[in-house]
Amino acid sequence: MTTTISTTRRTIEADELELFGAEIDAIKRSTLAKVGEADAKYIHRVVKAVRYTELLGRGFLFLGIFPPFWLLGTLLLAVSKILENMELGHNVMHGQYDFMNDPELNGKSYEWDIVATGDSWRRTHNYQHHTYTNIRGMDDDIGYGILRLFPEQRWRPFYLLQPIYAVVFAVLFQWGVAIQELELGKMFSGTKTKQETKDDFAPMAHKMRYQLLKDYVFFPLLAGPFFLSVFTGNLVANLIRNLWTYMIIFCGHFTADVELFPKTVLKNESRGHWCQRQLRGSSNMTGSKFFHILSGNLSHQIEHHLFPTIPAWRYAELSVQVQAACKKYNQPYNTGSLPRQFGQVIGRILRHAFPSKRVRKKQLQRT
Amino acid sequence: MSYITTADEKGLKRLISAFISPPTYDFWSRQLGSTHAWSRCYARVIARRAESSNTFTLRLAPNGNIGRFAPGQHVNLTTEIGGRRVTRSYSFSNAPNDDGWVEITVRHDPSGLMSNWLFDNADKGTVLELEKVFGAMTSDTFSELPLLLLAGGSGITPLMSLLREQASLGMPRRVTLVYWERNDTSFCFTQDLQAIAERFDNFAVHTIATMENESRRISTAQLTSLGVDTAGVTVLACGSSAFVDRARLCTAEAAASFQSEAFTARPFAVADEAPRNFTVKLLSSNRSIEVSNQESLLTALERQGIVVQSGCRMGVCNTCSCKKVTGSTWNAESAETDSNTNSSVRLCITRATSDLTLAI
Ligand SMILES: Cc1cc2nc3c(=O)[nH]c(=O)nc-3n(C[C@H](O)[C@H](O)[C@H](O)COP(=O)(O)OP(=O)(O)OC[C@H]3O[C@@H](n4cnc5c(N)ncnc54)[C@H](O)[C@@H]3O)c2cc1C
Repeated sequence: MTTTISTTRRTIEADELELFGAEIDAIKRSTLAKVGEADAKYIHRVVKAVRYTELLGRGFLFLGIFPPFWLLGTLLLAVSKILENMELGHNVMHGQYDFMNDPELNGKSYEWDIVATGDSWRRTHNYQHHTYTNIRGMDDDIGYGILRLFPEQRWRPFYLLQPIYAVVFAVLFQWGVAIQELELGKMFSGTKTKQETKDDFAPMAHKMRYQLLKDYVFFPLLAGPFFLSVFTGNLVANLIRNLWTYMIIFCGHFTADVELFPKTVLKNESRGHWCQRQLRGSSNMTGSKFFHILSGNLSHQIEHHLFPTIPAWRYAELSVQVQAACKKYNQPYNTGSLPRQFGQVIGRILRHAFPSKRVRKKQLQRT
Repeated sequence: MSYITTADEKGLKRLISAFISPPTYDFWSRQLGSTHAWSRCYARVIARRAESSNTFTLRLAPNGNIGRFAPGQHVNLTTEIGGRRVTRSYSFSNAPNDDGWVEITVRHDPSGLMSNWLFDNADKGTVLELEKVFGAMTSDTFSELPLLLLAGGSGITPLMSLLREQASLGMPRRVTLVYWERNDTSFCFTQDLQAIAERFDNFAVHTIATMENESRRISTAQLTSLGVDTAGVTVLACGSSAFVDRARLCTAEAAASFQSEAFTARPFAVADEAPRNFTVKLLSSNRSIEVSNQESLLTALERQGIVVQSGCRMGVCNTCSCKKVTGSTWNAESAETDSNTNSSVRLCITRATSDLTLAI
C-alpha cells in the first residue's frame, strides 16, 4: 500500500500544458455561463433537506427513550449536520452561490453549524489551502501540522504514535479544524506570543461556547426528562460527522499517488502548471449520487480544486469533460472507490509514522 | 405591527436564538406560511388592481420589520428572478395607515426585468422582500406655501402618496397637480384624483397626454396657458431624469423652492470622450476586470457576472456605494470628476476615467 510511481506520465511540452490549461478554462467558462436558476433551485432544496432532517432528527431524539427512535434521530441529525457542513456551508463559503445575491447564501458571511468559525475557515481553507494546494510549508492542510503523510515531511520520533493520534484527531476533527488557524505549534516554538494566541482565540471561543451550549445544554434541557438521550444523540451525531468529514477530506489529498510540491513551483507558475498541480495534488472518489451529495461533492476533489467557485453539484457533469481533457493531454486523473482511496490514506498514516524516503518522481516540467 | 421592542419579547428572541439561527427561524416561518421573520422584512401581496392600461397597484402586508415610511418615500423591493435576487425601487403610493398595509404602483415595462416579472407573477399570496425605506421629498419639509406637483409618467406615485396625505389632513394648503402621460389610457389614479378634486376647492388637477408630441411636453408657456402659477410656490417634480430637468428649467426660477426625484438615471454624457477600456482591480475578491468608460461601473460589473448589492440604480438609495481606493471616476449626478483616494462612490452613477481599485 505504499507509494507507486506512475511511469506512464509523459513529459509534455510546456505549450501543450498551456493548451491543457486553456481547455480547462474553456470548460470553466462554458459552465459558468450556465449557472443560474437550476443552481438556485438546487441549493434551496439542499437548505430544505438540512432543515427537515434536523427537525426530524431532533424530534426523534426527544422520543429517544425508545432505542430505535434514538438511533433514527441520531442518524438523521448526523445527515443534517453533514449536509449543512459539506454541501451547504463549505460550498456556499467558496462563493459558489454568490451569483444569487442572497445574504443568507453569501460566501463572505455564511456561518456554518460547527465549532470552526466561518471567517477562520475562509482564511485557512479558501485562501491558504486552495491557493497553495499541497505545497510544503504553505498549505497547512498537509497533515494539519500534526500528521506526517509524505516522506518530504521531516520525521520525528513522536510520529511513531501517529497511528493512534490520527484516530483521536478524526474523532475530534471539527475541533482540530477550529483551532488550525491558531498555529499552536508556533506558540510552543516561540514564534508567536501567548497574547497573540489569546487574541486569535477569542472569536473561536465565542463560537465554541455557542455550539457546545446548543448541543449539550439547551437542546437536552428542552427535552426535560429525556436530557440524556438528546445529549448522547447529539454527541454521536457530531462524532459521525467528524469521522465522515475527516475521511472525505483525507481521501481528497492524501491518497497514494498524490504529490507534494516544493515552494519553488510557485515561481512563474503558468495557468497550465497550476492546473497540473491541482490534478496531481487531489484525488476523487467514485460512488452513488447520494454519496456525492453527502460528501459535499468533495468526492470530486479534482473538479473542486480546478473550479472552486462553480456550484459543486455540477462537478459530476464537469468531471466527464475534465477526464476527456486529461486523456487528450496525457494528464493523471486519480479516482477510485471510497474503500480503495481511504485504504491508501491509512497506508500513508502507517507508513510515514516511520522514517521514509522520497522515491524520485518526475518533477513538474519547467521551461 | 411594531417591531419587537418590549423587554419580554427581547428576552424571548434571545431564548429562541439559543436554539436556532435567524435563517433557520425565517425558514420555518415561511414553511408554516407566515411572512414573520427574525429581522428581514417580507411582505405578502394581499390585493392587486389595474391602475391604468399599463400600470397596476400591489397592496402589500409587510411583517413587523418594516421601518416607518413617510409619504413621498420609496422602498427597495427584492425578489428572486431566474435564481438571482433582483432589487428595484418603488415609491409608496398610499398614505400611511393603521391597518398595516402599504401600496406600490408599478408601470409595466415588457422589456424590463422587475416590472415585467411583477406583472406576470405578483398576485394575491406572492411574498416579496422590502428593504430600506428612503427618500427626502417628504411633507415635513413643506412650508405654508402652495404646492405645485409635477408628475411625469410613473413619477405620479410618490406625489399621489403626498397628495393623499394632504387630503387626509384636510388640504391645509393650496395644491396643484399637473400630470403628463404618454397617452390617454396611461393615467393612473383617475377616480381618486377626481374624488379629491371634488372634495377640496383648493386642489386642482391638470392632465396632459403628450401623444409623443413635443409641444405637449412640459414648458413655461404650457403651464401659463393652463393658468398654473409658479411664482412663490413649493415645486415637487417627479419622473424621468429628462422630465425632471425640464421641470426645473420651467419653474425653479420663479418658485420659492424646487425639489425633485428622478426615476431614471441621467444618461452618461460621454460624447466628448472616445470609448475606451480601463482596468478595475477588485480588492476583496482579488480580481481584475476591464470596464468601458461608456457605462456605469454597476452595469459594467454586472456584465462580468460580479454581484454587487444595488437598489435604485440612479444614485438615490446609496445601496451600491463602495470605497474607491485609487483612480479617478466621473459622477453623472454632479458631473464632476473625483480623483481622491479612499473616497466613496455610488457605482450606479459613476463611470471610470482611469484604471481603478475598488474595495469590493
Ligand atoms: C426612487 C425611485 C422610485 C421609483 N418609483 C417607481 C414607482 O413608484 N413605480 C414604477 O413603476 N417605477 C418606479 N421606479 C422605477 C423602478 O425602480 C424600475 O426602474 C422600473 O420598474 C423598471 O425596472 P425593470 O426591472 O422592470 O426594468 P430594467 O430591467 O431595469 O430595465 C429598464 C429599461 O431599460 C432597458 N434596458 C435594460 N437593460 C438594458 C441594456 N443593457 N441596454 C439597453 N436597454 C436596457 C429595458 O428594456 C427597460 O426598458 C422608481 C425608481 C426610483 C429610482
